[in-house]
Amino acid sequence: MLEKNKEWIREKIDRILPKVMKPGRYVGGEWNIIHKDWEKTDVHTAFVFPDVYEVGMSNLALRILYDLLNSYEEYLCERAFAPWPDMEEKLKEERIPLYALESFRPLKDFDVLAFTLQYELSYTNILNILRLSEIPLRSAQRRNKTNETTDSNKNLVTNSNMNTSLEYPLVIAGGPCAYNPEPLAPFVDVILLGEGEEQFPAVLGIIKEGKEKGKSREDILAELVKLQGIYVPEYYDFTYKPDGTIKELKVNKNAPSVIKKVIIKDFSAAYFPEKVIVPYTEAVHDRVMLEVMRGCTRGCRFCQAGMIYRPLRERSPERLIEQAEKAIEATGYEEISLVSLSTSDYTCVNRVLEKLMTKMQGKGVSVSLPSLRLDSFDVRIAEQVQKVRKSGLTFAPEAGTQRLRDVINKGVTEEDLLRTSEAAFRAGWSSIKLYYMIGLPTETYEDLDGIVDQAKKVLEVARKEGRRGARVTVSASSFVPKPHTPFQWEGQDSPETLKEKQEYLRKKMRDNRIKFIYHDVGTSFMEAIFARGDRRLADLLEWAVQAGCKFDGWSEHFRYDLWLQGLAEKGIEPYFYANREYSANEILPWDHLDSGVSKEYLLEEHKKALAGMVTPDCRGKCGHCGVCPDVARTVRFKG
Amino acid sequence: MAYSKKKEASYIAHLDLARVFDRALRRAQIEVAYSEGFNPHPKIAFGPPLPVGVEGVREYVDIDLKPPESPGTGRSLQEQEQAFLVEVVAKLQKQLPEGIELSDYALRPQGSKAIMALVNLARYRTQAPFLEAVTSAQLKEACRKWLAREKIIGVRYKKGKRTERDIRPFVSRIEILSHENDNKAVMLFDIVTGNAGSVRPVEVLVSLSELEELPVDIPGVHTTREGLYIEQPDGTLIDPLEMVK
Repeated sequence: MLEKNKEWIREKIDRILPKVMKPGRYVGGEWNIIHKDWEKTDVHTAFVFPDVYEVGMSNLALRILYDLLNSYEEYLCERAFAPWPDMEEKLKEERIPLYALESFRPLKDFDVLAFTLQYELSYTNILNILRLSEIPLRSAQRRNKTNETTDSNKNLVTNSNMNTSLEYPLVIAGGPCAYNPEPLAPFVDVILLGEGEEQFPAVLGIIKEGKEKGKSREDILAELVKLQGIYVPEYYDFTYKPDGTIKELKVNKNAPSVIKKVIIKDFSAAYFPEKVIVPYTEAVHDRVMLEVMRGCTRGCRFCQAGMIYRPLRERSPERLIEQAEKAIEATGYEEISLVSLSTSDYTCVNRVLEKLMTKMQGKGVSVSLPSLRLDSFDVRIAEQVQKVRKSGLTFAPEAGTQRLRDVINKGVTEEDLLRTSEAAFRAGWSSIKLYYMIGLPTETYEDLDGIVDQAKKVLEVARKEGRRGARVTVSASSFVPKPHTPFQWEGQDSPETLKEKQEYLRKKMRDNRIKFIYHDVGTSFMEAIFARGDRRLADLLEWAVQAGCKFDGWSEHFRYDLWLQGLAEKGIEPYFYANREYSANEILPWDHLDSGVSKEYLLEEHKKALAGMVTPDCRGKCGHCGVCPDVARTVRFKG
Repeated sequence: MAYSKKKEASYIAHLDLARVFDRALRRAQIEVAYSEGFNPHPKIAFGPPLPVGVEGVREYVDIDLKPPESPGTGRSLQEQEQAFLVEVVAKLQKQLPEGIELSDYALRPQGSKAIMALVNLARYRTQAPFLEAVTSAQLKEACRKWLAREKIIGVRYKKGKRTERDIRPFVSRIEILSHENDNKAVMLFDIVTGNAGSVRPVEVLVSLSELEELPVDIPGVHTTREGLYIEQPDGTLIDPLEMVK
């Protein structure tokens, strides 16, 4: 049989690239790409981003881990992305397996495939990538043949060549969706819970040793599970009650009953990639991303990131300036963005901004802030960072009335919004974008009216400031209850209700100064099903991939019809996952995965939400969520 | 500057090239002049776009550099200029993607017209494998017949939209350079380029295989742009950089 090696792939690819869109996605060769010697490295990892190149290359986790793993002499890390459907078609036609961009080697040749789980609607892409790589989807199908069949010959196997201990790559996954990876459980061998900077190299260390000693996949898993934050789904088994809820979780005696996340305690000293890859075909976020802090203290009750990345850890201003200068030198980027969950909350934001702008002036480098909050928004800052481009300003009040904002614990007031809008219009902006969520717990039509009122009030402010041509964009996404948040028990509005609400708003906002954007109800529904889903959804995922579902987060590829057909065929009641109110007493599919925030705290927050009581920012008063000081301490610098 | 664009670099799209050069210049710490206005951008201009996937042997870029502040002592202005240019080219080369190599340069006099606007001819070399044997006589005859046609409709798809245009006027010459074993030919195409548009050699080959029944293995075609020229009314070709020198 013809061996599909890297030379063969390379040659084939050159023939098909002229026929696909943006061929630059598939050839690598970018600035700062790392080529390591396959033969001289011990563990070969492919970091696989289950979305298209431009999205994946914007991801901070990829940038950090790619650079970090390659900084170890003994490890090699390459990249792969989901091919856009036009490329997938060509790959299938020519029977070219999916390959990594650095060496053009097929993914099947790697020891480890590391997927990042950023979004529930990229799950089908993960399975599709395995399919395109000619790797069996289920972990159970990837067990060593040698082991299953010839147990008595084990000694012979261990003495053979290093690469034979793993017949297929180990499939590893991490990222925010790892906090409930259950729908993917049968497909993934190892889940990494928490931050990968320290944990990932430790995992590779065990795999390296396993390879050297010729250990089987099963023996390597048994070693890995001893590390903190390592979840091996096959060691856990769920049973269910007649009503469909979980009866019991049975845990293999060698595995922990609760998996605790891993976290970087000294974030200032944490690995930061300076020589990041600079794509030639433009990425979504094509700039230096300076991570100023991790975690958020606000405690918005719908926000999963605000819970799972706790505690807040800031990076020292000196370190940030140093990193920024080195990054610009190594990349030549024309923009630096200060990123985090809420950058204007970073204690030293003014100092860092001012210093950066002085240093970067004359180099043709601009500085930007991606997320601004209404209450800490400083027009002076905004003016400075947007000196070059006066693009629109974006704010997220999230809900239309003070009552509902209290329920979700979004601590901003209408006064904040109007005061900020006034300052922004006065400073020269003429368009403002407002983000809202619909379908939030306890929402009524009064709250929806509040959204319309707010948009009109902002326009009124613009008029008073003499900005007659001002425009407001209102974006309404649909609330999706997420695990590890105080709203994890809440059901999502039915698709019909959400549609009615969208329609209601659309009619009320027939005003040519207001642009109303809303999201497809079907995608939010599927997102909710998988966000709170369990292992019984795995069959549906497998079915969907075979039926052709992929890139579900892209409206042009989302096939709601297929998903509905799949739900029906697999006998899955979507209401059970998306719209049902989960009970405080039932075992949740993610109860054994510990983010550090206690379930008691989440329950308490849920109660307070329904009572309309706010919880203050924990920088002022500790809310006793369970993270500090046991998991790690909050770290802040003097402003 | 003249540069070659080969291997992986041939997949860098024309629209992305300005960004690639801007970032390379910043890494090299070479100061570039910026345009005035709302959204300042570096003053970098390129010659006619090279189709994605086609290698370029001698492409051109025009960069407005900021002149050095401190003039060297004891040297003539010309010597200083020369030294400055040598340094810029060396620094920039180190920061350019693999596959892009600077090969020549000249100083464009201030205020002179952009050379790129004068380029009117592109010369391509293509290696065309055949799906079945083609004799030299057959190949010659096919080219002759094709060139003898008055009007040839070429079809292009842009964002899913089909557009038709006459491609014949863009092809000024086809030359067969070599023809091995009846299964592969190397051909030279002189293509007219300019404001009125242009045609890609592969489109010409597609048309040749359709109209003259030449069995070209289109996906196997490899194309290189050999050079860009200013064709004088008398037919002589001038290299744009030589013109400045």
